[in-house]
Amino acid sequence: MIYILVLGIPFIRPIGIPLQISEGTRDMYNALEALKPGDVVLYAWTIDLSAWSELGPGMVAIAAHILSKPDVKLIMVGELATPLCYERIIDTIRNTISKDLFGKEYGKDYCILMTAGGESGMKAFMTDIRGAISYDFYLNSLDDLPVMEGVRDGKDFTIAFTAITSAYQPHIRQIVDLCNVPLGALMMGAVAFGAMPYYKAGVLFSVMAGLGSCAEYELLTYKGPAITRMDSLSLSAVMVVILMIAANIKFYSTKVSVKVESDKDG
Amino acid sequence: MSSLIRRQIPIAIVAMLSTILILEYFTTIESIDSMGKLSAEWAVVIGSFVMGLGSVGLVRRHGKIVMSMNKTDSPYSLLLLVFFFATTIMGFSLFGIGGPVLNNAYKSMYNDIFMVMSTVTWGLAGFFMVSGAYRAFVARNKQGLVLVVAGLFTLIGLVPIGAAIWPPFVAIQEWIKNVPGSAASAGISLGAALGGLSFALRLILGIERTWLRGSE
Repeated sequence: MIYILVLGIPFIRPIGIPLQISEGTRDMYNALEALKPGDVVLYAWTIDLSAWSELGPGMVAIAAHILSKPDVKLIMVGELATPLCYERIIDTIRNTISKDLFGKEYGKDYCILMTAGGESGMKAFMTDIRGAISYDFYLNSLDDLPVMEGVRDGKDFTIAFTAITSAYQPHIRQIVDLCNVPLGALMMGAVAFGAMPYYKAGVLFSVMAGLGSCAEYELLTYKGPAITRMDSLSLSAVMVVILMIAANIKFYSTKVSVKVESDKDG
Repeated sequence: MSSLIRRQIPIAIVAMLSTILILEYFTTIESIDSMGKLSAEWAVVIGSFVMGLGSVGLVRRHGKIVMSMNKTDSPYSLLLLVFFFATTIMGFSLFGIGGPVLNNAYKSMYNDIFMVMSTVTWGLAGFFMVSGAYRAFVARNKQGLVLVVAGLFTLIGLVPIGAAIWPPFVAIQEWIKNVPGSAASAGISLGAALGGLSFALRLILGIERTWLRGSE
């Protein structure tokens, strides 16, 4: 009950704690801001809607940032239910950021593709796109899509972005290692810690961790729901810290009282 | 003959394809490259068929549970089958069948049911994490103390209120993430990679046979 109140009160009465932009978010922003006309961005094999509440705002903000760049192509590829997630991202951008999607059109400036087979499907796509798939998500032939003109394999992509909840190694193997395409990733907070060696080594040009990074990116680009959720996140973290301290105080006070009693008996 | 079909031939296929893919990565021989590309394309087709196979298996299993009229499990299996077939039928709207009505119903099913339920499932985990933090983050020994201190600084440094209370929280959290955390993650990743390599070698050489149905 206390936890629900702690999470809920900031939505009714926002506190407005200032956000600091982290290094990973800044790197992602700079890389996408530097996109030039003619560049092709791969929005690669992200989550479906399972972690939308944590990563969704960041995915929307990043997709909007890419689409706002003039003459930059966006190729969104996914498996299973991920293309439906991409549809939701596009609808969210239309409803909240830009009604005409920054003047971009499906098929001309962006498209949604679907693969199968997990990492094997990724490899097949990055090696030879038309060998792996012939149609987009809406069963249009790839050759009929102006956005796919000149995009034959993974090496034709300028930059890649992904948002994942667990395994990021297949993306590193098939995008960075195989085709040398710079890859930035938005991850769940717990997973991002494990990806730090790749970020420090330069294999990933950016690692954004969880809802906090999404809020930071919204602050840099287009305001969205993640910023409003940060007060709630802050208070819940403070509550967990208080509980941790309380648990330790309880443990040690119990230990001391048991020792005192045993000394008395002894 | 049965052993040849069920064990030797699958092991030979795996060994041959694995060798081609390894050679494709390390060499630039054109014929090996084209065989590697072809095998990747086959994997996409097989992956698609696996989804169909999985669907058939799902329907069979839950159909049996429903037919068994088990009071505990049958209602849930029936619900699963109803939603499975409803989503499948609505999914045909993606091919232009059923018009906008079916298409909107499919999107509504996904956005308003699946997404909401997924979000709730993720949200419920928060309560377990809070109670888990209360029980697990206790400094019973020196290692526990290190865990508690690192956990406290990481947790408070990651959220905006940490910087608002005391700015060095952020710097300490960054140091924990970049130095000891990164070093430990690198060690774990290396260990996992070596484990994966040895497992792959066992698969290629036919020593690991757990993936073969009915093998020892």
